[in-house]
Amino acid sequence: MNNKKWFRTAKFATYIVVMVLLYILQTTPGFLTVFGVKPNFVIPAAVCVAMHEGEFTGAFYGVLAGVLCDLGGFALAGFNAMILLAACTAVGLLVIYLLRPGVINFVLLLSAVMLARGLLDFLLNYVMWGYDHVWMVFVYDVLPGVIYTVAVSPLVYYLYTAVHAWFEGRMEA
Amino acid sequence: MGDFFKSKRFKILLVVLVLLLAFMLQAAWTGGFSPAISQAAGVVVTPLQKLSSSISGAVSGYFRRYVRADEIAAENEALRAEIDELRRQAVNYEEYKHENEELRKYLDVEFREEHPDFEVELASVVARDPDDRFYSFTIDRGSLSGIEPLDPVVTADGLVGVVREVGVNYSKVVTILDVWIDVGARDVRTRDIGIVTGSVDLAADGKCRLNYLPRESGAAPGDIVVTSGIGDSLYPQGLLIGKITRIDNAPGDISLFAEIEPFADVRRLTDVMVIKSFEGQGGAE
Repeated sequence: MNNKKWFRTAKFATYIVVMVLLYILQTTPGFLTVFGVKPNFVIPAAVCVAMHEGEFTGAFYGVLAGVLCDLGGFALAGFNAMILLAACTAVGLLVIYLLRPGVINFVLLLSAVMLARGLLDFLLNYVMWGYDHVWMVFVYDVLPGVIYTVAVSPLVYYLYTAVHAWFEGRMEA
Repeated sequence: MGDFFKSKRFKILLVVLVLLLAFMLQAAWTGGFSPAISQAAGVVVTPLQKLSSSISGAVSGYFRRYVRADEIAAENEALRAEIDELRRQAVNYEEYKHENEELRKYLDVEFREEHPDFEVELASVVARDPDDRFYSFTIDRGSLSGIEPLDPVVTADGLVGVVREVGVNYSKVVTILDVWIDVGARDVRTRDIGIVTGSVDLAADGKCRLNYLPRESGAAPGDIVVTSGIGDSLYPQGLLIGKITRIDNAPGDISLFAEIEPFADVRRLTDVMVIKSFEGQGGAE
């Protein structure tokens, strides 16, 4: 394996390790919990990878993030993985054809992904089952979760961007 | 962008999507057991989550001392006064304190002695999902420890929930605050029966509901609610659930419902017990 290939493999492996560590942080009981709301770190990570690496690689990291989200929650296994596969593919394509990679576009794209996922979760797992006071789930849980995740997401963006830049620099050297 | 939809990459992503759909169908089919992809992820992640939750517990415990310094100082003063008082009464405070700590360690032993027919597995809470609205959690025991879907989960204080999904070394527990759960329950004083379930509007306050109480029920705030153990016998009879805090008419006025404050603090659990088997489980005996 030549140096470039080695660094490419190491970069993708680092993305995975960082994503797993972020998942462990986000599920640690009490960690960064504010009024019962916790931020999601793995979805910003997947969106960031899709921005830097394009639609194809991004889609696979979207699947990994989705599998991790499915692992912790009670949505049917594969629910988040399918949504994030489609979302990260869309993010990758948008960055290739329409948008420039940057923290503002990242925050905007992540907001759209989080809202779309939150709405689908709300509609399919709550509204469809006709629970009482179901709007409270959206107002007090889904929206604060989206806002909190988007608010802390630049940290994840800069972390992944630093990893990406470090490996790209090594590959070009 | 049109090129992408005609490319080999797009076809590969479609295949992945179909595979995920297959996993989803498998998950729906197998019910309480996690699909292979989740099991594999769980095997890697759960030990790390266990380590992370222990570190987090230790660190937050350390800092809590400083955050609550004033409160602790006041408590300290009160305790000193209490110690003086106790000394005056010739009672060895330290001895009682030590004894109390020792007894706390054996709460689960006491629980086992109270329920000799229970086969119990101790477990630690290792993860809480950021997306969950009903305080569900993951424990560090799974099928390797003999845990099965629908095993009741308790603490020494009372019922906490039920195992909904089992992996090799982890299980996911839904709490009694969750709308998914239904527990046959009984008011200890009036012996009226009903169904305990979660409610979207009460979950944030750590409460749940006892539905379908008869209209003529004499249930009142302060009454204790326990599992009835009737029906499909998913739960043993007489497990403490909580205390009634409010009674009201159900929509349509055909029955009453009660708000229940669970005895177990579902939102702040660190250790639980899973009842793997009990006498009369599943209505078999």
